[in-house]
Amino acid sequence: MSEKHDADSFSPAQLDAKGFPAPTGVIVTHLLIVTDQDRSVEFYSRVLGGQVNRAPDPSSGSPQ
Amino acid sequence: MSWAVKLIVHLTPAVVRLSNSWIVIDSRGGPTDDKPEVIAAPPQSSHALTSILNIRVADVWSIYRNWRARGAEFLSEPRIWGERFVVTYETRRTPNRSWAINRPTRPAAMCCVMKSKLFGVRLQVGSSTFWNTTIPSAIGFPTTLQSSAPDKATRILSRRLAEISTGSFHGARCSPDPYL
Repeated sequence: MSEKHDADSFSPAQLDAKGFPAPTGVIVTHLLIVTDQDRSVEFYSRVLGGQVNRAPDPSSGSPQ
Repeated sequence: MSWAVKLIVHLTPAVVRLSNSWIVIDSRGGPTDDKPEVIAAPPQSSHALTSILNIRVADVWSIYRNWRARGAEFLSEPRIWGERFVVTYETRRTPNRSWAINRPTRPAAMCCVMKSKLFGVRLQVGSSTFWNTTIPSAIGFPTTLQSSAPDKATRILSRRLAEISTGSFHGARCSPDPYL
């Protein structure tokens, strides 16, 4: 059995119907802690061309 | 008797699928029961760099112009980093009649850093071509390369060095080179 633990040993994650990684395989993501979620989401989607899978929760408001 | 009421709200972060990854965007918060001594906080200053999200693209200048048109701010134009190839490599004939090309001591990369008052210095757009190029310093080739056709290898390398130095080096030209 191989003792290899690099990226080649991981299976890429499949996507579910909503475009999220299905609970199989491995995927690495980046978490950003930001001051204004709405503005950040707008930046990553409109400027960089990302697709919004889940919008900010409007009930969360801006933490004080 | 008094009751201590604790409201627990589970907030879900926003998620943006960006190219082949997902950017999870959350607000500051904490501490929480599982990490009572840790809080989540956004960057404290746009002048202090703590992490970078690298975005590798085939054409840095194209992305730079496109995103600027959409309102992105960059700290500088794309530029080539690293030592000049033209002064750090040399060729010499070895006993077995092949040529050895010495690699530069540091890799070169073209990149530009995006600026935002709100997001901090967090995005760096770099050229993916340097991961595939046959220029030895860019992908960590051995210090010495052997070639059975030294004249052709030298011409090819010289041409690509010139392309890199002028910024005209693109991914489409990065096919594997049998002579290097």
